[in-house]
Amino acid sequence: MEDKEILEKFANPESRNVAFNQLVRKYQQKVYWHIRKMVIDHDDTDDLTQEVFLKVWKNLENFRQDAQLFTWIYRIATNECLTFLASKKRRFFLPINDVAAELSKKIDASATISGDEIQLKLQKALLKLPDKQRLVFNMKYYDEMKYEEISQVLGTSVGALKASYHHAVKKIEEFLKQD
Amino acid sequence: MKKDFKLSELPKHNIYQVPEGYFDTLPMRVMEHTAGAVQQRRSWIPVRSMVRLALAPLLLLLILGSVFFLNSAKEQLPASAEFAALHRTDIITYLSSSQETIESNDFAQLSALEDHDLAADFLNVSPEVAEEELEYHNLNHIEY
Repeated sequence: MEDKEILEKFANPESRNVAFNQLVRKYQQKVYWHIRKMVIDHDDTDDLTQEVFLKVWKNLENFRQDAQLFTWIYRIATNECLTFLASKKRRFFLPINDVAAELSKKIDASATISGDEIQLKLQKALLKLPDKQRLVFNMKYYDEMKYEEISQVLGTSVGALKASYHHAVKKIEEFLKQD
Repeated sequence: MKKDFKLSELPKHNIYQVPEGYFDTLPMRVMEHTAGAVQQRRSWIPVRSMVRLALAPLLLLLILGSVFFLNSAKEQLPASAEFAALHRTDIITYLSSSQETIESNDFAQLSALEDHDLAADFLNVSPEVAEEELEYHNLNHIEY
């Protein structure tokens, strides 16, 4: 179902639930994987994914169609991720590196994470980046989004995003070169 | 020697996994939350309007109750306590300027006269004289 059709059906109270169910089915995987790469843990991702769709449900009536539905949902998911990570740092009174270390341990210990050594190392290298730079890297490298789309999600200029991605790649390659 | 590493040469691979059937059940669980959100909004509206309706009479009751409580608390103070709170010079000024004449009958109504020491101090007469005085007034009254 196209986004336009979903929105039209959502506007009608009789077909609202059907339309929203379609929306969740269409975007659940993109939202889930976007969050999962940021918070690492499946249970945290599950909670945040549901929270994102609950916010979409509550605010979809106010959605202005000057942006793509997809980038709007991504923006909500991104904000949820950043809020979650910030609260995690506050709650444990930990500096950034310690939260990264905690997430890095999860990569080694989680039953729902598997991959060869270099892939695991890449994920640990990503955790050393600042959260916003990690977001940029994930959206460009894994989700293969255009800079213009990332710009709509993060509200950052295309030039700044290009520079951020370039620096992120350099840092990761440096990290992977070690050992 | 460290070798150069190019990210572009590394194949993209998702190392993360989800429990089996996770994406089959996720839409249903999300829909359960949205149904709850609608119910919460609907049940909140009548409660809010009911509270608003009850607020005015509740406030009125509160104000009336406070006024009643303050007044009754004031009335419950014994006359002796109020009298004791007055300054002696105020009492003397009042008595000297008042148009009312004070007679021994007025004092006869004071139960405090039963305390002989107080009578002696306050009236400056002996208890016996006070008793005689009272008896005299009562007899006169009977003759009429």
